[in-house]
Amino acid sequence: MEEIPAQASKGESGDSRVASLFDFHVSAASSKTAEIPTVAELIDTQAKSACALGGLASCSEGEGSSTDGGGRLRHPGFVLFMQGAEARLYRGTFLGRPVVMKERFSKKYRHPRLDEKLTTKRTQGEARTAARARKAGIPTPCIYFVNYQNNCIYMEDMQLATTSRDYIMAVQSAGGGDSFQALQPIMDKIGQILATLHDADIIHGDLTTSNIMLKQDKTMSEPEVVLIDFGLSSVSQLNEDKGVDLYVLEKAFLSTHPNTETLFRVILKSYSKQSRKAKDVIKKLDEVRLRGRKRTMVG
Amino acid sequence: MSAGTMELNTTLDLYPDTTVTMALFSQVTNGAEIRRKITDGTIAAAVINAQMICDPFQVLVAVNKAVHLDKLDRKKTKTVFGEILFNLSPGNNILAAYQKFGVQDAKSQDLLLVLLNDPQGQQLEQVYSIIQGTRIPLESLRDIVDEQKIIKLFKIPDAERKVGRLVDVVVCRMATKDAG
Repeated sequence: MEEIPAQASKGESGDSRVASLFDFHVSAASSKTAEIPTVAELIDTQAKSACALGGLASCSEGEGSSTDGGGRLRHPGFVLFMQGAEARLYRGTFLGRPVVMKERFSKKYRHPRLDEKLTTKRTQGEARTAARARKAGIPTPCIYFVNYQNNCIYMEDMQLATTSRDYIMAVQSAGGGDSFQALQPIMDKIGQILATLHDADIIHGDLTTSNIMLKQDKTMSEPEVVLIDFGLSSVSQLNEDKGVDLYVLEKAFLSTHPNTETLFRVILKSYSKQSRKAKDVIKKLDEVRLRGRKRTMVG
Repeated sequence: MSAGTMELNTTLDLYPDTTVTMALFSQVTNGAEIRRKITDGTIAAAVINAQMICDPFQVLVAVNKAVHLDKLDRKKTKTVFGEILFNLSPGNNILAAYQKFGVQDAKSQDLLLVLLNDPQGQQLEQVYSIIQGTRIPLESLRDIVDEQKIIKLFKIPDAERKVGRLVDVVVCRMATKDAG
């Protein structure tokens, strides 16, 4: 696998997600009739295995250097759970609520002043675009506090949620032939949300199935699609940019989840149905596909 | 927690040596006097128009940001209490923030009091003696709040209302106000 996993790790997918997935695979293999899990069931399974791993996670020293030079914890009360190329993710409590804290760290290879400006700009941009997305009706975690000194964003911890990546994988490993039936409504919802996003002229910039989450708590009859990680997002009316946004998702989708061409088509169909400007965007998507890697510009 | 919490006492997770005390007063009649005493410094507290508060969390978020900026000496207003009111407001106009979220020109109003670093309750006692109103449990906020006023001031579109509870919508706006 070439660049797509790297892209995925630019966002927030990482070891702990894979670990929880293996747990699920084990239990799926051992059950005689592997049933297709609902989103709520997968969330439940992951929550249980997260509890089991909780003991390991509470050791905040070590990977990601969450301590400062003197060995004191930089973020007391917060537990590191993911490290990406740009930021570290912590879990903790903030004013009585469970939060995820995203800390963008400085890249030492950059010139310090440039680094400072870039990191702050990224943090600001993420907060701004997340707010814009919410105004347009896109479910995304609520931001509670942004610390521009150390580039930390404190946001709602969606505890009863899973990534669409994990869910697609879980359904495919359990379902076999019925996977399409189970996943189609989810793909449909994803298409709708992306259409709403693009109609608001917001480009996500890093669409992968790890950044598209599925939330379902007891009050919800159906899972809800939630977008996360607006770190690379921008605002644009250009169909080209929207087409590229979809292309990025398509690439990430097809390489992470083999044999899902028909599923992805459901997303595009739903997108076209929901968005007024879809026709031109899809046209651009086709053009971008032709331009892609290892494509001859002939004919 | 008992059926009626008369005051909320908590610390800020990011600033554990700062305690926050909140108390709710209904039918306060001496608004003008309170305002004067805030200006001359007799009252060192944030006195907030309770109609604009849908949840104590909303206030705590404003307090957290105010204390954060105070420690960095980067407040937009003069005092940490003024900063709390400013943070509650969707705009960048300080006077407008005080007018909408501070003590109102009304014969009778409901006010939410916020004190900092008063673990023994001494400041609370002092302010309590000045305010001419009835102390009520914080839970009553949900009966006092004017949601339509909040939605109108923050210009919250229907689409955004569906994303979460009103308190979350407002808090997210507050938190991202200076992101541009």
